[in-house]
Amino acid sequence: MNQALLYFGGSAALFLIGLYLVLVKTNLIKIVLGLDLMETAVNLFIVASGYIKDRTAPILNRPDLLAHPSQRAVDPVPHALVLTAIVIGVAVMAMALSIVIRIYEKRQTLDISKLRSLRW
Amino acid sequence: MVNPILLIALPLFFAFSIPIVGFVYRPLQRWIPVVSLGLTTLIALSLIPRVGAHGPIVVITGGFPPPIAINLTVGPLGLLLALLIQVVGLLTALYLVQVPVKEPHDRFSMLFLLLLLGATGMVLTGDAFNLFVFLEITSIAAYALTGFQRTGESVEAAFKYLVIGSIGSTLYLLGLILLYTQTGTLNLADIARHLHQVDPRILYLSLVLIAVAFGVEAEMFPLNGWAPDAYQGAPVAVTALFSAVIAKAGLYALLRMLYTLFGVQNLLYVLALLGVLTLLVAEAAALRQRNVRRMLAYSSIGQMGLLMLAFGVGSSVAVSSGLFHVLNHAVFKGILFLGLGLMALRTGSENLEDLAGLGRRMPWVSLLFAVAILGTLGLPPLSGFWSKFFILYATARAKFYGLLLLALLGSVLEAAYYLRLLQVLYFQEPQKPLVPGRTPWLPALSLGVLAVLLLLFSAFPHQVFHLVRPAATELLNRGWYISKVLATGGL
Repeated sequence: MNQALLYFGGSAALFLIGLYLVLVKTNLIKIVLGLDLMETAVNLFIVASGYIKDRTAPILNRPDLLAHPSQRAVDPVPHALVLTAIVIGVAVMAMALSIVIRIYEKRQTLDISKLRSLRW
Repeated sequence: MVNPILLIALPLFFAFSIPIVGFVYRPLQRWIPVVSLGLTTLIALSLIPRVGAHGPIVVITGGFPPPIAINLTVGPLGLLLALLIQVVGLLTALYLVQVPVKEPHDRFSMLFLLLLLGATGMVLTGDAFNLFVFLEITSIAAYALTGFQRTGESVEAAFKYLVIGSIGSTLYLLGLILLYTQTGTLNLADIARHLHQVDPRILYLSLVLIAVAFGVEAEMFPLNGWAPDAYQGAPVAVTALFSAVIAKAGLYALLRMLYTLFGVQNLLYVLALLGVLTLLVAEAAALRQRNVRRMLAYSSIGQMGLLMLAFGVGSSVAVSSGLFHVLNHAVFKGILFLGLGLMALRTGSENLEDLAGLGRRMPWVSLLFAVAILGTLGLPPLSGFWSKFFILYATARAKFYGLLLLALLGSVLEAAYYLRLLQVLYFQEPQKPLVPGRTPWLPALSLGVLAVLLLLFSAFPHQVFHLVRPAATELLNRGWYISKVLATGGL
C-alpha cells in the first residue's frame, strides 16, 4: 500500500512541478519541459495503476502462471497504453521544439514576455 | 457493405503515399487529398441506409467483440459528423488544388489529410483510449498546420495552441486512466455500464478533467484563448476546417462524454451557462476587430457557444436543432472563410477597410459571402433561422429565461459587426486597386457547392430535422447506445 502511495504521490508531485513550469516560467524551452513533465507524470500514474506487488508479466510460459493466471499476473493493459502514450508524447515534444526553433528564428528570443501575441 | 474502417485507413494510406506520388509525377500530389476525400465521402454516403435501418455498425478489430478490443461505433451521430467532415474536407481540398499555400505543398497535403483523419476517428471510435489517440493525431496535425506559414504570428499561435492543447489532452488521459482503475475497461459503452461502481469522488474528478480537455478542443470559454490566434495564423483553408469541422469533433467528444459516458443530464445546465458565456465574450470581442479573419474567428467561437447552449438545454428539440445548427454553421463558416481567402487573393489583405467595394468588383464571391452572413444572423428564409430559432425556443421551453436573454443579446452584438461588414462590402468606395487576375474555377466550384447545400438546407428544413433526429436520439438515449454496442455480434 505504501509503495502504491509513493508512486501515486510521486506522479502527482511531478504533475504539479510540470504545471508550475508551464504557468510560471517565461522561457519557451522551460515551458516545453513542463509539458513533458506533466506527460511523464501521467505515464507514471498509468504504469503504477497496473502494478500489483509480487506479480509478474502475463506471459504464460510457466506452469504456476498457467494454472492461476488471474492471481499471478498483473494487468497488461496499462502497460500497452503507456507505450502508446509515450510515443504520442514524443511526437508532441518534437512538434513543440520545432515550433520553438521557428519562433527563435523569427523573433530572436525565447522569452515569452517579449512575444507580443503570446500573452494571455 | 463497405467496411467503415476504410474511413480511417484510406486517408492514412493516401497521406503517406503523397511523397511517393511526388517521385512519379509531381503535379499529381495536389489531387491526392481530393481523391482520398472523394472516396471517403462516397463510403460515408453508402453507409447511411444501413445505419438508418439497423442502427450502429460496430466494427470489431483483432477478432474480439466489445468490450475487449478497440472498436469503431458508426452510429447515426458519428456517421452524420463523419460525413460532414468528409464533405467539407473534400470541398476544401478542391479549393486548395488551385490556391497556393506556402511550400512544401506535399507536407501540407499530408498534414491536411491527417487532420481530417483524426477528426473522423474521433467521431467514429467507440473506445476511450482510441479517442485519445485520434485526439492527438488531430491536435498534432493542427499545431503543425497552424504554424505552417512560418510567419512570426503563425508560429507563436501554434505554440500557444500546442501548450493549451497538450495540457488538455494530458488531462483527458489522466481522467481516462482514473476511470480505468475503477471500471477496468476502456470501451465507452462498457465504462458507462459500470459507472455505478465508481467512487463518486473519482467520478467527478475525472468528469472535470475530461470536460476541461474537450472544452479546449470545443473552444469553450475560458479555454479558448488559443482559437483566435490559431484561426488567424493558419492558412485560410485550414481555418475553414478548424471552424467547420475540427471544433465540431471536439464538441462531439465532449457531448459523448457528458451524455453517454457519464450520463450527467442533471449537470448539463453548466454546459448551457458556459455556452452563453462563450457566446457573449466572443461576440463582444468580435465587435472590436479590424481584421476580418479574426472577426470571423470570434464569430465562430460565438457559434460554438450557441451550440453548447443547445446541447446544454438538452431537450429533444434543443439537441435536434443543435445538430441542425452544426450543419448550418459548417456550411456558413466554410463559405465565409474560403470566400475571404478568395477575396484576400485579390485585395492582398484581410483588413476590413481593404474589402471596401468588393460587392461590385467581385460580385459572385461577395454575394455568397453576404448570404452566409445573413444565414449566420438567422434571417428568416435561410436555414440559420430555423436552427437558431428552435435553439432559442427550446431554451425558453426549458425556462432558462436568463440564458435566453443573454443569447439574444449575443445575437444583437453579432448583427452589429456583421452588418458593418456588409456595409463595407457593398456601400463603401474602394480605396485600392485589386490585384489583377481571375477567381480560379475550382475554389469557385467548392464555394458553389457549399452555397447549394445552404439553399437545400434553407428550402427543406423539415427534411433536415428529420435527417438529424436519429442522431439526436442516439445522443439522448444512453441505454440504447450501450445495449447496441455491447449486444452486437459485430461485423
